[in-house]
Amino acid sequence: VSEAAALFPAGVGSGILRGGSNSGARAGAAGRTEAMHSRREMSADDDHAPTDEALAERVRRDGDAAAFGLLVGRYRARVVALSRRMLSSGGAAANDDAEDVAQEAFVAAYHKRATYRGGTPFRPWLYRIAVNRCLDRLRARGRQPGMHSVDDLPEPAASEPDSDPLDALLADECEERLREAVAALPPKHRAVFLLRHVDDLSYEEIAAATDLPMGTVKTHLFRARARLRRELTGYLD
Amino acid sequence: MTPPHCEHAEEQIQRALDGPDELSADERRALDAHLDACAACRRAQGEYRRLRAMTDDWLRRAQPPAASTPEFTAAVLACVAAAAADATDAAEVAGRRRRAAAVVPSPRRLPAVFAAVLVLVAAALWPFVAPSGGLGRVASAVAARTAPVALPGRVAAVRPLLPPVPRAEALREAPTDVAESLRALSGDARRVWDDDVLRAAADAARATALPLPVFWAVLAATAALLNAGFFVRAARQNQRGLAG
Repeated sequence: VSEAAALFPAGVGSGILRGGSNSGARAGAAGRTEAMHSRREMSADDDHAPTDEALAERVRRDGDAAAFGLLVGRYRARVVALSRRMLSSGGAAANDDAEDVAQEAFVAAYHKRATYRGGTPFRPWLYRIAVNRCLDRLRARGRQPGMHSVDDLPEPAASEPDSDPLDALLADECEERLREAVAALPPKHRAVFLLRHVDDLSYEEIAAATDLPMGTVKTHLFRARARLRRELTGYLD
Repeated sequence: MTPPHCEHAEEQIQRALDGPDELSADERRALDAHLDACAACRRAQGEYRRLRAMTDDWLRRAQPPAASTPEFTAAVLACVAAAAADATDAAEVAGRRRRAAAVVPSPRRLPAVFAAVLVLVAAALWPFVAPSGGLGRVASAVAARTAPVALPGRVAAVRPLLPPVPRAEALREAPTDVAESLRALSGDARRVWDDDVLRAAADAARATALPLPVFWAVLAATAALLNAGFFVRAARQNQRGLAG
């Protein structure tokens, strides 16, 4: 999985979910997933795809597994990416770890569906569960020092295979520095920073997802980025 | 050391990059003015921009290939369905247990139930075992009832409790009011107290009495049956539990 993820040209594997416009990209993904999962929705135009909140409400009210499947399809990529970067993983084992955590997070979300409040944004609610799963996993790792060795493995080549070897080398080094710097952030700062960038969450949504006051969210975010900028001096020119 | 207004500008640079609406028009103007004047903050702005682009790329690369999403979704839904099935099974098993518990006592209460059943059986058998105190009395009462004359209430109540003694003695020892009632009885009624009748009743009682070894044998058999019943039920429940 890790090799595939790394070698996949950016924009093919993931661009569907993260295009120029976030909501448009989500709707596109939703249309595709629905076509895969439900005959009824096959003809559904992208514009008529149910919103996350409508689906979440169906899941909450009826335990609608099909609606939940659509939500999983929409968010899987972002939740896995968040988990992977939260767990600051490099090696294949850690990538599997991120997939496992993401899967656990979705299963937990289904079981906690009663805690979703109708009419409130779905994303912070889901990410909150995912972030908590990651923090739990990090704490568990902290108790098992052996697990840290996984983080030391270098990430598979980030660059595309057909690009200029020198640029590729530089890009790889750059990403490696970024990975190390993010991994060195305190877990809560890391969570705030990643939530901001993995899905363009607003400060308010991040506050809801992390259970932190908005002022704290901003402080964490600005400090995290200031620190990353310092650590990456020379790579940001 | 960053001057205080540069630190403030750095925060505003970040906020401006987070969204076009994060800064008010006034803040925006103030920041632009500062950036015009401050080369360090202009560089910072460029670096934050680059950091954002780099982070976005890096996060995008952390996303798994979309082709594997249906598989992932199926796995999640399978977990959810399995958990739901488990919950249903658990509820069903709990219901079955509750219903079974209404009939079969829990193993912890078995000794108490066992003892209670034995005591009941023993109590039911006892009158048949003790002919003089138990069934003897019952038999004489029955014999007396078969007598052709009804006795006044008080006497009728006392009579079964009186020992099979000659009438004269009975009259002497009976409470005064009872004795008076007895004396007032007609000749037919007195026949009830004839020694012959009472002796015959006692003999009949002795004849129907259970010998003591039979009493113990019946008790032991009851105990064995109870045990066997409980064991069979427990074994069945275990099997159900394992199968479920």
